[in-house]
Amino acid sequence: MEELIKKLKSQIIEELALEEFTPDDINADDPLFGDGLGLDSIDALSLVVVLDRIYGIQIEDPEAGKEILYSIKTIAEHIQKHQS
Amino acid sequence: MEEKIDAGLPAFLSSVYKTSGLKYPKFYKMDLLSKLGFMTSTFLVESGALLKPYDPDKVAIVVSNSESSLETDHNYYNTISEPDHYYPNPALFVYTLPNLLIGEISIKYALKGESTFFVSRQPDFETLCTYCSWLLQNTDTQAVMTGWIDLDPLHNYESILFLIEKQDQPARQENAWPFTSNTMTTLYRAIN
Repeated sequence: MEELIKKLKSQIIEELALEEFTPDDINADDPLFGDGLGLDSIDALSLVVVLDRIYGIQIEDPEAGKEILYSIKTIAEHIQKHQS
Repeated sequence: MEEKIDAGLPAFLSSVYKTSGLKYPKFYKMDLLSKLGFMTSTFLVESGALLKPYDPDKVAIVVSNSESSLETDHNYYNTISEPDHYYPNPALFVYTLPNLLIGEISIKYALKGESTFFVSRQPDFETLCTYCSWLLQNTDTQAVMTGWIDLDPLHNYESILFLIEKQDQPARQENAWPFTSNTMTTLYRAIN
């Protein structure tokens, strides 16, 4: 899980052009939207595309999407569940 | 800011941003055309200082170019051109209109005045001059940021912005040039 979280942080920084952040700046438990990383709705769409493109995971239910995309950790947990 | 350069433009603009001392993380999310316009506007108004005398609701932005948002259009197309690798990029899609660069400048300086984007094959300073004059004479516009910000898919670019102020405005900058299409053309040619 730790390895996946580390990889996810780098991928999200690159894909969402968060150039002012390093992986160490991002706490895996912090919310990605709102007060956390401050991502916006376009970032949310980009995350959905990234999960599909890199991990083959499609998020079709918006309510489930909110829970999955809550933090780096929740995304990692969902990926792990999908891969097992 | 005017230059014809190569594929190093993204790195160049990032470097300009970093050395400017600005703290504006959204810069990194902009497409290249918006970054070009954003940094040019930053130099023009010296981080907003020149706009301070004006009501942000009454500052207009009128920009023109020849390539519209073609550079970003190309990049976006690359994300949807292969049926087996069809992943539309939302972050690119939102920039597939040239007036997004006006939006970025407006957000940075909280400007809510008139905004217009013209696309013409060559810089048409006569039209820009006529339109800006009309805004200043017939609306409550107090100042206009206008110019030519052009970028093609090979990253050839030209970027020049002018701040147009009314002659009777107390806030008008000293040593200002007269606002005519000839002045704009002369200054444009001077940096070409």
